[in-house]
Amino acid sequence: MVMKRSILFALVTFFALTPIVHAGFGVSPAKIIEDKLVKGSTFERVIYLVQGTPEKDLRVKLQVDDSDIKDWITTTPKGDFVIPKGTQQFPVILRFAVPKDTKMGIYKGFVRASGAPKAEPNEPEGQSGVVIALGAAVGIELTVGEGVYYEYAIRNLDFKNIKETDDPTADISIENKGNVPAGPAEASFELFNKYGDVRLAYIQGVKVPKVEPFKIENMSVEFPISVGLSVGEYWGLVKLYDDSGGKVREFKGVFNVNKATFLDKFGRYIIWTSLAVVAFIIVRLLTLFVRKIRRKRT
Amino acid sequence: MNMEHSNKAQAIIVALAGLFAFVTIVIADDTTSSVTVSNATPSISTVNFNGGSAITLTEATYTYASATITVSDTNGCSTINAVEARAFVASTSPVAVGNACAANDNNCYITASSSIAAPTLGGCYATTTGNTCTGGLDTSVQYDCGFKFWYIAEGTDSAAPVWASSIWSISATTSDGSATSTATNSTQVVEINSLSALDVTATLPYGTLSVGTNTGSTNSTSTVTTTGNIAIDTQLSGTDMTGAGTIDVSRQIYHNAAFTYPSGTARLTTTTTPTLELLNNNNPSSTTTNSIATSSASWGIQIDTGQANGAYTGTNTFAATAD
Repeated sequence: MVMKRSILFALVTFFALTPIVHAGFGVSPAKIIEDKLVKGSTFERVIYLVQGTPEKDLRVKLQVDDSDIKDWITTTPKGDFVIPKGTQQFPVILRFAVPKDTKMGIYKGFVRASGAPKAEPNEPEGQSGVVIALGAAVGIELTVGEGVYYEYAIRNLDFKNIKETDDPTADISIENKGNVPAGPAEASFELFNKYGDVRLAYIQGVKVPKVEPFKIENMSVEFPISVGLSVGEYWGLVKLYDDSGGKVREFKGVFNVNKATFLDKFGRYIIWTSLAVVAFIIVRLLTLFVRKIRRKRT
Repeated sequence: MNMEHSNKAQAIIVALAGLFAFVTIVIADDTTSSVTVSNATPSISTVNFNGGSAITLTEATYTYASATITVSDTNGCSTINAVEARAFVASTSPVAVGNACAANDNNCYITASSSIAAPTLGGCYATTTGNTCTGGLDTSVQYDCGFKFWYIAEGTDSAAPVWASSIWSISATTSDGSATSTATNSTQVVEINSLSALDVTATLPYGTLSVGTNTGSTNSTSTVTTTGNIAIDTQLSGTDMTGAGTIDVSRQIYHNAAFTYPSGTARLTTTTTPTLELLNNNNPSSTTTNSIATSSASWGIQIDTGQANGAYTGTNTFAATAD
């Protein structure tokens, strides 16, 4: 009788039968901090939802917490989606748009990703309890002020291996940390032999495109030198200059010129010749067609 | 007639004498020429680390990233016999040349060439797809050096708690057996991003409770492990437990240490406030993955009078957030 009155809640029994799966969850980077925003600024960042042992598909719910900046943020993907098994790093794009009527200040919020429970509560009869789900929250810290911030960083500068038919090319990665377009203005390039001691060519005044605010831009800048390069190794020296002509970065390194294929060498001529032939045939046919019509009329 | 013969003989003698006057005696012999080609110091022409891009770690395991190192030797690239690369946390400028950091999973990774034929993760290997060494007059060769960055590698992005003003750099060394040289990727800015991550024991055992009682001083615990590279706290939320009826989510209370119901930090809600400060998760910076910070969250629950008998299930969510 006492036992009957004592209604028991078996809150744990099934856990003894449920295997514990070691599968964590996280987000990187942990915070997004921008302190040079102005009204109307827009930018985007990529965060990664990470799992060390993605042994099965994971249902995820992504949401922007309620805060003053909730409406500033859109995500791709959004809402509920599935991270396929085997995916250790799943990218999510966050886009930020500061309204033009925003007051100056510091704004904070979270973008939150919550995964499905680690153990499935399959509820065998008479068994119950709490299962654990994992999630991660990216802290957002945005400072909206006024004024022009001009600041950029050159994150990468390197030479690209090219073919005989190409011009020397430098890969440049520029991060604009400010709120106006920024970046180096021009570049110069010096070509040296394989030992780096004899200069073969020089070009200056090659324009470098500006990078939009808060963006990281990876670009390839070509240097159209007047000499054709044969297959082999060369040294190059690239210098980047700011708007006032001051040198902001230089890099000397080796690049390779590889053999070009037949299509690399003559592809463009073949295409242009083919187009010319086709155009000629079309014009000829049209002419014949027009003449035929005129003859019929006469 | 005799006079004629005599004159001819004299003329021949004079002619032969004149001829021999211009003939010098040459004594021929074999000669050997020798030249010593001195050893040229190999040089590192380029060091490219992860293409200049930031590195995202993976929680609880490692992430592979590589440095591409182009080595030149005017004696020929086939004379290169060793390449080593160190990835380390460095000041933003200048990058330390010839850095001699000691290997640890936090801030110094070392990888070097080996005689293993088949490339595996880690190690420096002459490329098979890029600038290969063809021997002879070929003077440069490209090596790919792989790094296994563990999840505790220091973050250097703007959200990193300690090293936000630093970057990760490569110091590369090469040798031809006689001379060595070093170089860095001084034209790159490579960060390792902060990683906020956790793992939690999969279930929360409350035990068996009667109606109208609570767990009192008997807490259930969840073990929280930091599996990223920064200190974390957790934001907790949950669902009502459902079954024969509904146990409101607020009947669960949590705390970062043992407590007697209902004196914990807060009642659980369906939203995510407040944050639970974890006591021991402020130090994920151990230099080995063998000693990772863990912490406990203690739980209690109340079963209200009138609650229907039966099985109940619910879900509690632990969300990692930067401390």
